[in-house]
Amino acid sequence: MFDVSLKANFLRGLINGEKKICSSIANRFFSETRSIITVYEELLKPSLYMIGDLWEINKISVATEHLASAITESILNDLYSQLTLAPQQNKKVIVTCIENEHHQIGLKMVSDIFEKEGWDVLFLGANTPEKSLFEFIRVIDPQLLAISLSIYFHIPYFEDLIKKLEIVFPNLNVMVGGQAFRQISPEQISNINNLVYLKNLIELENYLSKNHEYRSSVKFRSQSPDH
Amino acid sequence: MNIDHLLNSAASLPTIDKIAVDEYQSKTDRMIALLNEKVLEREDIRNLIGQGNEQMMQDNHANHARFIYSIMKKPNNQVFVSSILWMFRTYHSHGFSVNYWSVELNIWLNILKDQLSVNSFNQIAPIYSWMKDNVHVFAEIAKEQIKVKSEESNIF
Repeated sequence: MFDVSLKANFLRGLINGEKKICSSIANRFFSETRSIITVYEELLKPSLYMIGDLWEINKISVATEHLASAITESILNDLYSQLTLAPQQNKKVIVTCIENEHHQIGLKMVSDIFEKEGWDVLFLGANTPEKSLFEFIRVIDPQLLAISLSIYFHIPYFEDLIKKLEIVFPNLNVMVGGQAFRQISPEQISNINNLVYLKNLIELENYLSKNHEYRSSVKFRSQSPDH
Repeated sequence: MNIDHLLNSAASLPTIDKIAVDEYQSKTDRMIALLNEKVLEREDIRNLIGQGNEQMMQDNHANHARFIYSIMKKPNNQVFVSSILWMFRTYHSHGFSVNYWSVELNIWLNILKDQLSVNSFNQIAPIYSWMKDNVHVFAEIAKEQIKVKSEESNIF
């Protein structure tokens, strides 16, 4: 949808640390489309994937990669202030990365979509310790838990976490997405109850547009000796 | 030799039982420490990994063990082969030589033999031998992929 040369300019801006140029391009796309999801999916996400590719072949340094991430996070904050938020729905979602996951930009995008749809978002960010997560769920009693997973080799840990969550909070609805799942088919994780896999932000928006029923996850929980 | 060759030969690797996978995981920290020690004490370390890449190498060793644990627990040949190719692309681009992989995998095999039970070693060793036997295949494919990615990135 977007002009290819503008996308290239955006990427060049990220690499050169030209925040103003990047912001201007992102704002322009948002003005034209009025769709935050389009900006995230078609401009920010592919640019960050390309930044990863450029680091991989040693065309940019780790420092440049961090710079690009910082600019992107700043753009997310700018765009958020321009969002039209739906009326409050009295629904809460905890949005988090699992332990040892340090990539949180995708998670911020997910948070913005939830907020746009009128949800209360509890953003825990990167590298949330398992014990703290369980305590937090108990206190907050959310309708949904949204987990982002970037690294494929964290999948066994993620599956263990999901199994523990099922025992302690059997009614808790869990949503998962992220780069790790680009490498495996959804069927390989779909045998877990109350778990929804979403491929991208478009699927997230579609999911939220439907009226799902949510039960209290805390009220009916069973006890686990571990948590 | 191409990716299909790697996928086909990986398909013949044995499935690892839970006891062996758990033993590998429980001894991971010790095995990584031994691996780091053995590689870092080599006189040809600079030729193997390039200048100033010691930390990157140690990160790779830790990531490698977590990755192999994942693959043994949840086998997926597509992920297995594509992830190794990613490692070859990334580390080669950052100055690691092809010989580093052969050296590293040989040391891994020795450490596995010393640290694991015979039953676990006999199950897990074929995975490492397969990676070692295919080092040059991975290296060739990775070089081609780097060339393509570099050409694509030249527009920036």
